[in-house]
Amino acid sequence: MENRSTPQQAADLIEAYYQKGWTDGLPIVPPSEQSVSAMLSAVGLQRDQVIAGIPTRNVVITADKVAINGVMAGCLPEYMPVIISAVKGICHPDFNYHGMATSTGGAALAILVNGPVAAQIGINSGENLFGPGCRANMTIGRALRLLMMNSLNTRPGGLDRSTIGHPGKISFCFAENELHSPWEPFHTERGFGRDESTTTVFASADIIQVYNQLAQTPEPLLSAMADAMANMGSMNIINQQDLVVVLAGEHQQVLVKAGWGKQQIKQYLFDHARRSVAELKRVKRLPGPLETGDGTTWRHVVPGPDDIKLVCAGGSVGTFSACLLSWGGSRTATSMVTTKIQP
Amino acid sequence: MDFTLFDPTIPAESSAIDYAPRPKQLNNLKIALVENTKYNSKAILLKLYEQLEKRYQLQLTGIYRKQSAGHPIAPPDVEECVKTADIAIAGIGD
Repeated sequence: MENRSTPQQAADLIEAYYQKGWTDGLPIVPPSEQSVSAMLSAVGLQRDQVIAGIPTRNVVITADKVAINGVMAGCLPEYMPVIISAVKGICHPDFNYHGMATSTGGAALAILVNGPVAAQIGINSGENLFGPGCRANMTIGRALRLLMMNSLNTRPGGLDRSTIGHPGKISFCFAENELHSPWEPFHTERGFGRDESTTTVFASADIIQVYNQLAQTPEPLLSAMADAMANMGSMNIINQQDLVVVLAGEHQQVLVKAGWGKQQIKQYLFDHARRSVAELKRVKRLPGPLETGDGTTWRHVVPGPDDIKLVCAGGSVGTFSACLLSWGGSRTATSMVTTKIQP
Repeated sequence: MDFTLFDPTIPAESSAIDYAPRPKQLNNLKIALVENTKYNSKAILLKLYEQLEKRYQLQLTGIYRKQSAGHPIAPPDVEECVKTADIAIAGIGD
């Protein structure tokens, strides 16, 4: 009898969270005193300890709410340091939470994890890193989204006004494959040590998979990437925000064989990820009538090469990479924020 | 069934908003415009001001631009608005 009733009780409990409106549409893991305490113990925080706040939402986030949403998302206690770091990141004034969370532009909250912690807790940086199958990736990203919905009042139809939304709004967390990367890790470019761990949060409106199966030299390979980066329907071509390029295995090898480093790759992408003012005026992404010289006046997708953030990740087999384009109506709308993970 | 639910929500702290007193009429007032960086924001505000100016004696004290549509107006701009204008009009547009 007890064996039959226990699953029913669990189902009733999950249903109760649905009835309260506290889920993202998927079933949650019901928290218990034990599971919430384990989350807090993992980071040595008291329940009412303040993590951060967002003045434009009149909200102060306490540790217990992070823990509860983390358990609900399916997180293990050892994920808590990463979650806390990402929460601090989205509350940083430079990130401008209110804009990305509320906008009709419907950005995903992308969380990039660097440093030793990624391997320690099993965050996927390899095959299918943007897809399903890895608990850490799926549940850490989901914990942040549940916190946004439940604790930061970012609910669809309420203060989340996305016109079409983004599948990454359910969960979007991944790591850089530092072990097999031919170049220095992303977070060291931001001033952190290789032995330090960080989260970098950014508002990503689009992810475009870039397929190039025949390129054996950098120029054609990166030209295809540049074309994806500068697509005329993106927010990026107007806002010129920093964006992320994820280079995967076989594409990395093409670049390594040619002896290209990060700076050379960034420069090539910067030079080629652009549209003429004439092209953008014709499709009404820029205002005004066509004028002499518009055909040879260029609008680059970012202001400079270093605004292109390179990350090595993905499977070692296959000729695919990706660009993660940014959200925002202007370059001042939001900024990437990198935060150290406290062990 | 008896079970404990753990509340994941945080109610936003309510705060009283002191609205500026509404003018009883617009003649001889000083007006500030606050544009939010959306493409048509400034155009809409200026058009509105143009229409108001046809009907009332007004003085435009300044046009303030926010950092982005998702940011609040900068505190120094608020202070200046308060010092120099009787009313402010904010706009949105795309």
